[in-house]
Amino acid sequence: MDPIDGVQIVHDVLDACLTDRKGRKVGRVDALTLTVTDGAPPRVSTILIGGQVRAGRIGNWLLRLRGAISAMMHGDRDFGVSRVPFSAVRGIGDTIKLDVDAAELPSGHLERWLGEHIIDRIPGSHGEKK
Amino acid sequence: MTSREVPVSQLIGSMVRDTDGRKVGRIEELLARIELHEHGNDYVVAEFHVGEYGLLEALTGGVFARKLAQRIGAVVGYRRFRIPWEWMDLSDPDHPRLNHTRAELEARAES
Repeated sequence: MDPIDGVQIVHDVLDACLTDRKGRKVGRVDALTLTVTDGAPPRVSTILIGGQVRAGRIGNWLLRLRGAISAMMHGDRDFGVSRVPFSAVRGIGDTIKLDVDAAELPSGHLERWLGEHIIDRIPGSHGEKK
Repeated sequence: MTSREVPVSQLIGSMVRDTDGRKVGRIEELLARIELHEHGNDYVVAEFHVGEYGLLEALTGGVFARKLAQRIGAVVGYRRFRIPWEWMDLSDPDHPRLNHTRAELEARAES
């Protein structure tokens, strides 16, 4: 077989770590979508991060459970899922660099909530000394 | 011209058949090439890599079994085809089809 000349979507992109434009970790590539147009090559169009998408990779039962909890708590089965256009990719290497701001992505909601409501309340969590 | 969104996870592991309904193999990898534009880069799928598992075909529904079959490839008759995007019909993403025959694909692979 000829050597690979291009990006292998499954090997190089799926599950890869993502960083934002400031180098902060955003999460992992949990799923990807293609845009398929008649008579044109398929284009990698969207990166999906977090929430329902991650649950779906473990199993349909967890997907349904998480969707039901999200719908009950937030009125949205897809709460916490970030959809980043693939055109925001600035580089693919050990990590995938995105031209986005991590703070604006819905997939970081749970981590931010945990940070504000639980981690920040643990004594010493801000590095202060006695 | 119609466009539709297809999850990559829906394609990976799907059985590809040719125009005569013969099995070709399961989609394992998508090879994308970069198109540079002023507004940003596009990643365009140029090839689908499809694996055929020979004697172990019935056991390769799962990811682990497929990876194992690839490792011991020669023993079980594992074979991988590189299929250009023009040859793949994704109008039904659950049942991807070649718009050529398997014989044409084999001839292409050998050339």
